[in-house]
Amino acid sequence: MTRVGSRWFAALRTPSIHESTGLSNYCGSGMGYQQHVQERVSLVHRYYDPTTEQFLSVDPLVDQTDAPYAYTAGDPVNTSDPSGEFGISIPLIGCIGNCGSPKPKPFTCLPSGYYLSAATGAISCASGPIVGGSLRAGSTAAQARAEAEASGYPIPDDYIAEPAGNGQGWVFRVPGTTGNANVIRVGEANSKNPTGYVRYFNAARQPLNAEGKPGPDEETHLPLRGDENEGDGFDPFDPFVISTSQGCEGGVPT
Amino acid sequence: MSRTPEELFNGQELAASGATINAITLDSNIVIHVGPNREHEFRIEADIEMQRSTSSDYLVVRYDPYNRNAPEYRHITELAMVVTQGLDHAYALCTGALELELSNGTRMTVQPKDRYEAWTYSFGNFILACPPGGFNA
Repeated sequence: MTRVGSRWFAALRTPSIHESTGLSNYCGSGMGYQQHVQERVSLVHRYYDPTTEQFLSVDPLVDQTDAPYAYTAGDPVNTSDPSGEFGISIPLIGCIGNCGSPKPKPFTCLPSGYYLSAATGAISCASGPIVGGSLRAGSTAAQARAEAEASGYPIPDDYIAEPAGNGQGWVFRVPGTTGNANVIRVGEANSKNPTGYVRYFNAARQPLNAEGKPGPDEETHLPLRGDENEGDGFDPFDPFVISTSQGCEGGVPT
Repeated sequence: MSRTPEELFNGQELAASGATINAITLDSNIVIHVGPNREHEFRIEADIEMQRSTSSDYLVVRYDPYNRNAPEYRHITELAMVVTQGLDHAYALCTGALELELSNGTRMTVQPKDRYEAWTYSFGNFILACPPGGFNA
Protein backbone atom coordinates (compact mmCIF):
# COMPACT_ATOMS: atom_id res chain seq x y z
CA MET A 1 0.00 0.00 0.00
CA THR A 2 1.30 3.40 -0.90
CA ARG A 3 1.74 5.68 2.04
CA VAL A 4 0.07 8.93 1.09
CA GLY A 5 -1.84 10.65 -1.62
CA SER A 6 -5.04 10.30 -3.45
CA ARG A 7 -4.42 6.81 -4.70
CA TRP A 8 -3.75 5.51 -1.25
CA PHE A 9 -6.78 7.36 -0.03
CA ALA A 10 -8.91 5.87 -2.74
CA ALA A 11 -7.61 2.41 -1.98
CA LEU A 12 -8.74 2.71 1.61
CA ARG A 13 -12.06 4.09 0.74
CA THR A 14 -15.07 1.93 1.42
CA PRO A 15 -18.36 2.83 -0.27
CA SER A 16 -21.04 3.76 2.20
CA ILE A 17 -24.70 4.62 2.18
CA HIS A 18 -23.69 8.24 1.82
CA GLU A 19 -21.92 7.69 -1.44
CA SER A 20 -24.09 10.27 -3.12
CA THR A 21 -22.82 13.03 -0.88
CA GLY A 22 -19.21 12.38 -1.75
CA LEU A 23 -18.42 12.44 1.94
CA SER A 24 -17.68 8.76 2.04
CA ASN A 25 -14.34 9.68 0.52
CA TYR A 26 -13.14 10.40 3.99
CA CYS A 27 -15.81 9.00 6.22
CA GLY A 28 -15.28 5.35 5.46
CA SER A 29 -17.97 2.85 6.24
CA GLY A 30 -20.34 2.83 9.15
CA MET A 31 -19.26 -0.69 9.98
CA GLY A 32 -15.74 0.51 10.48
CA TYR A 33 -16.86 3.03 13.00
CA GLN A 34 -18.82 0.48 14.96
CA GLN A 35 -15.93 -1.92 15.02
CA HIS A 36 -13.68 0.78 16.32
CA VAL A 37 -16.11 1.77 19.03
CA GLN A 38 -16.29 -1.79 20.26
CA GLU A 39 -12.53 -2.00 20.45
CA ARG A 40 -12.06 1.03 22.62
CA VAL A 41 -15.11 1.01 24.81
CA SER A 42 -13.21 -0.02 27.91
CA LEU A 43 -10.92 2.99 27.73
CA VAL A 44 -12.98 6.02 27.17
CA HIS A 45 -15.11 8.69 28.70
CA ARG A 46 -15.22 8.09 32.36
CA TYR A 47 -14.88 10.75 34.94
CA TYR A 48 -12.85 10.78 38.07
CA ASP A 49 -13.84 11.90 41.54
CA PRO A 50 -10.69 12.95 43.39
CA THR A 51 -12.43 12.68 46.77
CA THR A 52 -13.20 8.99 46.34
CA GLU A 53 -10.40 8.27 43.89
CA GLN A 54 -12.84 6.51 41.65
CA PHE A 55 -14.10 7.04 38.18
CA LEU A 56 -17.64 8.23 38.01
CA SER A 57 -20.55 7.80 35.69
CA VAL A 58 -20.52 7.39 32.00
CA ASP A 59 -19.85 10.42 29.89
CA PRO A 60 -23.04 12.47 29.43
CA LEU A 61 -21.82 12.95 25.88
CA VAL A 62 -21.84 9.20 25.37
CA ASP A 63 -24.11 9.54 22.40
CA GLN A 64 -21.36 11.40 20.67
CA THR A 65 -18.31 9.78 22.12
CA ASP A 66 -18.98 6.09 22.53
CA ALA A 67 -21.09 5.88 19.43
CA PRO A 68 -19.83 8.85 17.53
CA TYR A 69 -21.26 7.88 14.21
CA ALA A 70 -24.27 5.67 14.67
CA TYR A 71 -26.51 8.58 15.45
CA THR A 72 -25.77 10.10 12.10
CA ALA A 73 -25.85 6.84 10.23
CA GLY A 74 -22.11 6.86 9.82
CA ASP A 75 -21.92 10.35 8.38
CA PRO A 76 -20.97 12.72 11.18
CA VAL A 77 -19.56 15.34 8.88
CA ASN A 78 -22.67 15.93 6.89
CA THR A 79 -25.29 15.44 9.57
CA SER A 80 -25.90 16.39 13.16
CA ASP A 81 -28.13 15.34 15.96
CA PRO A 82 -28.93 18.23 18.22
CA SER A 83 -31.96 16.50 19.69
CA GLY A 84 -30.13 13.27 20.36
CA GLU A 85 -32.65 11.31 18.40
CA PHE A 86 -31.88 11.26 14.72
CA GLY A 87 -29.30 12.43 12.28
CA ILE A 88 -30.47 15.37 10.24
CA SER A 89 -28.98 16.99 7.21
CA ILE A 90 -27.42 20.39 7.58
CA PRO A 91 -28.97 22.85 5.13
CA LEU A 92 -26.56 23.71 2.41
CA ILE A 93 -25.45 27.31 2.27
CA GLY A 94 -23.44 28.22 -0.76
CA CYS A 95 -20.55 30.56 -0.92
CA ILE A 96 -18.84 32.36 -3.74
CA GLY A 97 -15.21 33.16 -4.09
CA ASN A 98 -12.80 32.96 -1.23
CA CYS A 99 -15.47 32.44 1.45
CA GLY A 100 -13.03 33.19 4.21
CA SER A 101 -12.21 36.00 6.57
CA PRO A 102 -8.87 37.75 6.42
CA LYS A 103 -6.22 35.80 8.24
CA PRO A 104 -4.97 37.26 11.47
CA LYS A 105 -1.46 38.58 11.44
CA PRO A 106 0.25 37.42 14.59
CA PHE A 107 2.27 40.17 16.16
CA THR A 108 4.48 38.63 18.77
CA CYS A 109 4.55 35.17 17.22
CA LEU A 110 5.48 35.42 13.61
CA PRO A 111 4.95 32.82 10.94
CA SER A 112 7.74 31.26 9.02
CA GLY A 113 9.45 33.76 6.79
CA TYR A 114 9.25 36.71 9.16
CA TYR A 115 11.32 37.79 12.08
CA LEU A 116 10.91 40.39 14.77
CA SER A 117 13.88 42.65 15.35
CA ALA A 118 14.79 42.64 19.01
CA ALA A 119 16.56 45.97 18.55
CA THR A 120 13.92 47.93 16.70
CA GLY A 121 10.76 45.91 17.17
CA ALA A 122 10.22 46.01 13.42
CA ILE A 123 8.73 43.05 11.58
CA SER A 124 10.85 42.06 8.61
CA CYS A 125 11.03 39.25 6.12
CA ALA A 126 13.59 36.52 6.37
CA SER A 127 16.39 37.21 3.93
CA GLY A 128 17.34 33.61 3.39
CA PRO A 129 15.37 30.81 1.81
CA ILE A 130 12.55 29.21 3.71
CA VAL A 131 11.03 25.81 3.28
CA GLY A 132 7.61 25.43 1.81
CA GLY A 133 5.27 22.79 0.50
CA SER A 134 2.22 22.81 -1.66
CA LEU A 135 0.41 25.19 0.70
CA ARG A 136 2.64 27.96 1.87
CA ALA A 137 2.45 30.71 4.47
CA GLY A 138 0.01 33.41 3.55
CA SER A 139 -2.38 31.06 1.77
CA THR A 140 -5.94 31.94 0.97
CA ALA A 141 -8.94 29.80 1.84
CA ALA A 142 -9.43 29.00 -1.81
CA GLN A 143 -5.84 27.81 -2.10
CA ALA A 144 -6.20 25.67 0.99
CA ARG A 145 -9.35 24.07 -0.34
CA ALA A 146 -7.82 23.49 -3.75
CA GLU A 147 -4.64 21.96 -2.36
CA ALA A 148 -6.58 19.66 -0.05
CA GLU A 149 -8.79 18.45 -2.86
CA ALA A 150 -5.86 18.08 -5.25
CA SER A 151 -4.24 15.91 -2.61
CA GLY A 152 -7.26 13.65 -2.46
CA TYR A 153 -8.93 15.10 0.62
CA PRO A 154 -12.28 16.63 -0.33
CA ILE A 155 -13.92 19.51 1.48
CA PRO A 156 -17.69 19.80 0.97
CA ASP A 157 -18.65 22.82 -1.09
CA ASP A 158 -20.98 24.18 1.55
CA TYR A 159 -18.33 24.27 4.26
CA ILE A 160 -17.28 27.79 5.12
CA ALA A 161 -13.69 28.79 5.76
CA GLU A 162 -12.32 30.55 8.80
CA PRO A 163 -8.71 31.46 9.44
CA ALA A 164 -6.98 29.13 11.85
CA GLY A 165 -6.30 30.65 15.24
CA ASN A 166 -2.57 30.13 14.78
CA GLY A 167 -2.52 32.09 11.52
CA GLN A 168 -1.04 29.13 9.67
CA GLY A 169 -3.94 27.57 7.88
CA TRP A 170 -7.68 27.36 7.55
CA VAL A 171 -10.62 25.80 9.31
CA PHE A 172 -13.55 24.55 7.23
CA ARG A 173 -16.83 23.93 8.98
CA VAL A 174 -20.56 23.54 8.49
CA PRO A 175 -22.14 27.01 8.54
CA GLY A 176 -23.60 27.89 11.91
CA THR A 177 -21.59 25.40 13.92
CA THR A 178 -18.94 26.12 16.53
CA GLY A 179 -16.18 24.21 18.24
CA ASN A 180 -13.93 21.54 16.85
CA ALA A 181 -16.60 18.99 15.94
CA ASN A 182 -16.81 17.92 12.31
CA VAL A 183 -14.31 20.50 11.15
CA ILE A 184 -11.69 20.02 8.48
CA ARG A 185 -8.47 21.88 9.06
CA VAL A 186 -5.78 22.56 6.50
CA GLY A 187 -2.35 23.46 7.85
CA GLU A 188 0.25 25.32 5.86
CA ALA A 189 3.69 23.90 5.33
CA ASN A 190 6.37 24.96 7.74
CA SER A 191 9.95 23.98 8.42
CA LYS A 192 8.87 20.98 10.48
CA ASN A 193 6.08 19.74 8.28
CA PRO A 194 7.14 20.69 4.78
CA THR A 195 4.10 19.51 2.90
CA GLY A 196 1.34 20.96 5.01
CA TYR A 197 -1.48 18.68 6.02
CA VAL A 198 -5.21 18.12 6.35
CA ARG A 199 -7.00 16.99 9.50
CA TYR A 200 -10.54 15.71 9.67
CA PHE A 201 -12.45 15.72 12.95
CA ASN A 202 -15.56 13.75 13.83
CA ALA A 203 -18.55 14.70 15.93
CA ALA A 204 -16.65 13.75 19.07
CA ARG A 205 -13.90 16.15 17.95
CA GLN A 206 -11.40 13.34 17.42
CA PRO A 207 -8.89 13.59 14.56
CA LEU A 208 -9.44 10.91 11.94
CA ASN A 209 -7.25 8.94 9.61
CA ALA A 210 -7.96 8.29 5.95
CA GLU A 211 -10.26 5.45 6.90
CA GLY A 212 -12.42 7.74 8.98
CA LYS A 213 -11.19 6.32 12.28
CA PRO A 214 -9.23 7.91 15.11
CA GLY A 215 -5.58 6.98 14.97
CA PRO A 216 -2.02 7.97 15.76
CA ASP A 217 -0.39 11.23 14.69
CA GLU A 218 1.16 9.95 11.53
CA GLU A 219 -2.21 8.78 10.28
CA THR A 220 -4.36 11.75 11.26
CA HIS A 221 -2.10 14.37 9.71
CA LEU A 222 -2.90 13.75 6.05
CA PRO A 223 -0.07 15.24 3.98
CA LEU A 224 -0.80 17.55 1.11
CA ARG A 225 0.36 16.65 -2.35
CA GLY A 226 3.93 16.55 -3.43
CA ASP A 227 4.33 12.89 -2.62
CA GLU A 228 5.69 9.95 -4.54
CA ASN A 229 2.27 9.27 -6.02
CA GLU A 230 2.77 12.19 -8.31
CA GLY A 231 5.47 10.23 -10.05
CA ASP A 232 8.38 12.54 -9.30
CA GLY A 233 9.84 10.53 -6.46
CA PHE A 234 9.22 13.35 -4.02
CA ASP A 235 9.43 12.46 -0.35
CA PRO A 236 6.82 14.44 1.61
CA PHE A 237 9.12 14.62 4.61
CA ASP A 238 12.10 15.87 2.68
CA PRO A 239 11.99 19.70 2.77
CA PHE A 240 12.55 21.63 -0.37
CA VAL A 241 13.45 25.27 -0.64
CA ILE A 242 11.66 28.20 -2.15
CA SER A 243 13.20 31.61 -2.50
CA THR A 244 10.32 33.81 -1.44
CA SER A 245 7.12 33.46 0.53
CA GLN A 246 3.76 34.91 -0.20
CA GLY A 247 3.02 38.08 1.68
CA CYS A 248 6.70 38.88 2.08
CA GLU A 249 8.26 40.84 -0.73
CA GLY A 250 11.39 42.90 -0.93
CA GLY A 251 12.14 42.44 2.72
CA VAL A 252 8.86 44.03 3.75
CA PRO A 253 5.78 42.15 4.93
CA THR A 254 2.76 42.74 2.75
CA MET B 1 3.69 32.98 36.92
CA SER B 2 2.84 36.03 34.87
CA ARG B 3 3.84 35.92 31.26
CA THR B 4 4.98 38.88 29.25
CA PRO B 5 3.22 39.67 25.98
CA GLU B 6 6.38 38.72 24.12
CA GLU B 7 6.15 35.21 25.51
CA LEU B 8 2.55 34.70 24.53
CA PHE B 9 1.02 33.80 21.26
CA ASN B 10 -0.70 36.92 20.04
CA GLY B 11 0.11 38.53 23.35
CA GLN B 12 -2.85 37.16 25.22
CA GLU B 13 -3.90 34.46 27.61
CA LEU B 14 -6.40 31.90 26.48
CA ALA B 15 -9.99 32.57 27.43
CA ALA B 16 -10.13 29.48 29.63
CA SER B 17 -8.13 31.27 32.32
CA GLY B 18 -10.16 31.65 35.49
CA ALA B 19 -12.55 28.78 34.82
CA THR B 20 -12.65 25.38 36.50
CA ILE B 21 -11.59 22.05 35.07
CA ASN B 22 -14.87 20.24 34.65
CA ALA B 23 -13.86 16.85 33.33
CA ILE B 24 -11.16 14.87 31.64
CA THR B 25 -11.97 12.33 28.99
CA LEU B 26 -9.77 9.78 27.33
CA ASP B 27 -10.69 8.88 23.80
CA SER B 28 -8.02 8.83 21.15
CA ASN B 29 -6.30 11.60 23.12
CA ILE B 30 -6.52 13.28 26.49
CA VAL B 31 -9.23 15.93 26.50
CA ILE B 32 -9.46 18.50 29.28
CA HIS B 33 -12.86 20.14 29.53
CA VAL B 34 -12.97 23.52 31.24
CA GLY B 35 -15.89 25.66 32.31
CA PRO B 36 -19.33 24.80 33.73
CA ASN B 37 -20.61 23.81 30.32
CA ARG B 38 -17.30 22.45 29.06
CA GLU B 39 -17.18 25.35 26.72
CA HIS B 40 -13.39 25.28 26.65
CA GLU B 41 -11.62 22.19 25.40
CA PHE B 42 -7.98 21.23 25.31
CA ARG B 43 -7.22 18.18 23.19
CA ILE B 44 -3.76 16.95 24.07
CA GLU B 45 -1.86 14.78 21.60
CA ALA B 46 1.47 14.73 23.41
CA ASP B 47 2.93 14.05 26.83
CA ILE B 48 1.92 16.36 29.67
CA GLU B 49 4.51 17.43 32.21
CA MET B 50 2.95 17.98 35.61
CA GLN B 51 4.89 19.86 38.23
CA ARG B 52 3.71 20.71 41.70
CA SER B 53 4.54 24.04 43.23
CA THR B 54 6.01 22.39 46.30
CA SER B 55 8.54 20.37 44.40
CA SER B 56 10.90 20.66 41.49
CA ASP B 57 10.08 17.10 40.57
CA TYR B 58 7.65 16.52 37.79
CA LEU B 59 5.92 13.57 36.28
CA VAL B 60 5.08 12.88 32.69
CA VAL B 61 1.54 11.89 31.82
CA ARG B 62 1.39 9.72 28.76
CA TYR B 63 -1.69 8.42 27.00
CA ASP B 64 -0.75 6.53 23.88
CA PRO B 65 -3.43 4.04 22.90
CA TYR B 66 -1.97 3.64 19.42
CA ASN B 67 1.56 2.76 20.42
CA ARG B 68 2.82 0.24 17.88
CA ASN B 69 4.16 -2.10 20.52
CA ALA B 70 1.45 -1.85 23.14
CA PRO B 71 -0.85 0.88 24.44
CA GLU B 72 0.97 3.03 26.94
CA TYR B 73 -0.63 4.81 29.87
CA ARG B 74 1.32 6.62 32.56
CA HIS B 75 0.13 8.66 35.53
CA ILE B 76 -3.44 8.85 34.35
CA THR B 77 -4.64 8.75 37.95
CA GLU B 78 -2.55 11.78 38.80
CA LEU B 79 -3.94 13.56 35.78
CA ALA B 80 -7.47 12.81 36.87
CA MET B 81 -6.79 14.49 40.20
CA VAL B 82 -6.87 17.89 38.54
CA VAL B 83 -10.60 17.66 37.89
CA THR B 84 -12.40 20.36 39.93
CA GLN B 85 -9.23 22.44 40.15
CA GLY B 86 -9.38 26.03 39.06
CA LEU B 87 -7.44 26.98 35.97
CA ASP B 88 -5.73 30.17 37.07
CA HIS B 89 -3.89 30.71 33.83
CA ALA B 90 -3.89 29.11 30.41
CA TYR B 91 -1.04 30.25 28.23
CA ALA B 92 -0.12 29.50 24.65
CA LEU B 93 3.52 30.44 24.43
CA CYS B 94 5.34 31.57 21.33
CA THR B 95 7.47 28.46 21.57
CA GLY B 96 4.34 26.43 20.96
CA ALA B 97 4.15 25.18 24.54
CA LEU B 98 0.81 25.08 26.30
CA GLU B 99 0.93 25.96 29.99
CA LEU B 100 -1.94 25.39 32.38
CA GLU B 101 -1.52 26.74 35.90
CA LEU B 102 -3.93 25.32 38.42
CA SER B 103 -5.25 26.79 41.63
CA ASN B 104 -3.46 24.15 43.71
CA GLY B 105 -0.12 25.26 42.30
CA THR B 106 0.26 22.48 39.78
CA ARG B 107 1.61 23.46 36.40
CA MET B 108 0.84 21.34 33.36
CA THR B 109 2.96 21.85 30.26
CA VAL B 110 2.64 20.40 26.79
CA GLN B 111 5.59 20.96 24.50
CA PRO B 112 5.23 21.16 20.71
CA LYS B 113 5.93 18.07 18.69
CA ASP B 114 8.32 18.02 15.80
CA ARG B 115 6.17 16.94 12.87
CA TYR B 116 2.66 16.96 14.21
CA GLU B 117 0.25 19.06 16.21
CA ALA B 118 0.71 18.59 19.95
CA TRP B 119 -2.44 20.21 21.27
CA THR B 120 -5.57 22.07 20.22
CA TYR B 121 -7.61 24.57 22.18
CA SER B 122 -11.16 25.32 21.10
CA PHE B 123 -13.69 27.78 22.42
CA GLY B 124 -16.65 28.70 20.30
CA ASN B 125 -15.43 29.42 16.82
CA PHE B 126 -11.87 29.91 17.99
CA ILE B 127 -9.57 26.98 17.33
CA LEU B 128 -5.91 27.27 18.18
CA ALA B 129 -3.72 24.32 17.28
CA CYS B 130 -0.01 24.12 17.93
CA PRO B 131 1.59 23.65 14.51
CA PRO B 132 4.38 21.12 14.09
CA GLY B 133 7.45 22.58 15.76
CA GLY B 134 5.54 25.42 17.42
CA PHE B 135 4.21 28.76 16.22
CA ASN B 136 7.50 29.95 14.83
CA ALA B 137 8.54 26.81 12.97
